[in-house]
Amino acid sequence: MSKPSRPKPLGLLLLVVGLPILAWSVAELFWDLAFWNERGLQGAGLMLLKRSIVFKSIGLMVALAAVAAGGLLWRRRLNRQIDTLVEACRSMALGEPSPLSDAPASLGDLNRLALAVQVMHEALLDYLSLYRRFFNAAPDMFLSLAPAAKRILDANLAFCRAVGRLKDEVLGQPVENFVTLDKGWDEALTAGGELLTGQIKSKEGIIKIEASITLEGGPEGQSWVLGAMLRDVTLRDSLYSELLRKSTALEKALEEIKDVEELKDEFLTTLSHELKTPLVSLKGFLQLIKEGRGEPKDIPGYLEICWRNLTKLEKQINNLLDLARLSHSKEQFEMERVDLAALVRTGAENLRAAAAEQKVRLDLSAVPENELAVLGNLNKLIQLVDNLLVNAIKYNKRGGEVKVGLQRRNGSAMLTVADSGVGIDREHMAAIFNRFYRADITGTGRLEGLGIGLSLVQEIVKLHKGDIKVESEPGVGTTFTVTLEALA
Amino acid sequence: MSQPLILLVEDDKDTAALYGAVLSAEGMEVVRCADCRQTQSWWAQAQRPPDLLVVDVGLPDGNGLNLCDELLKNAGDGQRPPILVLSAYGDPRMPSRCRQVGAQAFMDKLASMGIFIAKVKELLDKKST
Repeated sequence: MSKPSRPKPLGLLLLVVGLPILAWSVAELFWDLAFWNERGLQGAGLMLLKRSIVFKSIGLMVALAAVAAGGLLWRRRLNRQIDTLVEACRSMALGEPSPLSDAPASLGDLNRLALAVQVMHEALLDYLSLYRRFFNAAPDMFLSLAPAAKRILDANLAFCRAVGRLKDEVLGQPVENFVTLDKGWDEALTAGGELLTGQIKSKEGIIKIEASITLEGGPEGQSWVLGAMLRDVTLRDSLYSELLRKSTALEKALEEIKDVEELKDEFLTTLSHELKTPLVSLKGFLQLIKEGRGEPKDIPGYLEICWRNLTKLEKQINNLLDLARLSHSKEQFEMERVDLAALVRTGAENLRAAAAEQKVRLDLSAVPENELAVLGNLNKLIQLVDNLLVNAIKYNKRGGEVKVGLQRRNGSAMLTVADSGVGIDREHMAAIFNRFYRADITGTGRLEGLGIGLSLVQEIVKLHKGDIKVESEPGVGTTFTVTLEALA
Repeated sequence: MSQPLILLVEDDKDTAALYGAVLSAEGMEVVRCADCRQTQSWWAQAQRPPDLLVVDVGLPDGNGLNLCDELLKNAGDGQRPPILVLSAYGDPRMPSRCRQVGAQAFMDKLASMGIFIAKVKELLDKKST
């Protein structure tokens, strides 16, 4: 780079020459005028003095003109140098390479000032690079925006990375090309300050962000420079929803545990009632017989009652034990060929008396006369059919009907037990197979039985790798459908 | 003196048969009701008030204790028959709840028949003195 030619300091020369001449002529004139009278000059001497004063006055004026011209030239020279310095500062402010690197040479008289500016500039550059490192190392995204067109003036690495672009591709672009705010940018820019939500369309998908925008007012109160800090909250939001989901699940589980606890307490009370009731008449009547209190003619009747209650007790205890055994699969059950049609007929016959007592009609017309065999455990299948039929009778209305059906369909045996009873509310549907759940059939809050019948049925169906379905309409009735694999 | 009249409210028919047999054998007249509704309709048409109420707690259409409350709320002090409450629920709070409704005695259903009869006689004696 060639050095700019240094302007000649003519003004300075004029000042250097003019000022002493000016001083000398002032002094001379002062001398001549002050001692005018004391010299007492006459004639030719006086003429000489007058001429001398005239010449010295001319000299004074010439010197004055030279000093004035020198001052003017000197001032213009300084102004030029100041302009150069200001221009240099302006280009440094715009981030252009410093033109002051050869300041002493180019800026002549102001070279020391230029040096000071240069030192300050370098110090500022150091700070700038320090803060730029912070700016680029920050995990959050920083943007500097021109408010009018919402164009990006500066963006840090985090932002460029998020949008998957180079910095040059981002600068000068409208910010709306990359960032969408839920509120919209126009509204966000008028408000500022508050935390806003939005998203960034990146190459890998949508990034959810939280944005805070700072506005700096210009001289006339208008928005001037705009800083936007954007934070990626995708992970936080997904963790938050995951946490929320889990805590809701936990709360639900806790509720369920509480419900189970309640059911358990209730179950123990019920168990006591259900097991004690048959025991009361069993023990009482045996005591009467043993102590000889009863009339001999009554004794067969007493024994009949004892037997009936003993059977009831046996059934309850077996149900309880089986439920525990089945749900823990502790026992290997022997599977054999079982004629489900015959089993259903026998089961229904055994319950005819109980049904008649409740004035419930048993309709077996849809149960085939010939064999429909499945592979299963005889006792468990008896229990399954018995529990379904007992429920259908128990939860029926007086004068109601239980329709039992059995058919072969697509290689399966399909058993249906439909009652015309109270039905099950939709809200209770999910709970009916729960252990210890009992339906409030009377609407008085009194619950019948131990609440293990359907739970046991479900366990038995599971044991046979079958399927159970329930359909119900409150006030119309409930139908249970059990599907088991049929044998040829 | 005429036979003591016992009102027996019990839903399990075998249990009711047992108590009925025991009380009848002692020469008492027994009226058996299986639920609240039946008891109330008997009560409304009864020729004479019973000398003793033997009531099961768990009834199909309600609670035996509430039933007693309902039946006796209008009875004067001298007319309240004693109440013997029976229960098969193993609830330890039961005796105190029974006292709250004015029942004189509470018995577990599995108690022996001898104790049951003794309790019934004791309550009848107390009433007549």
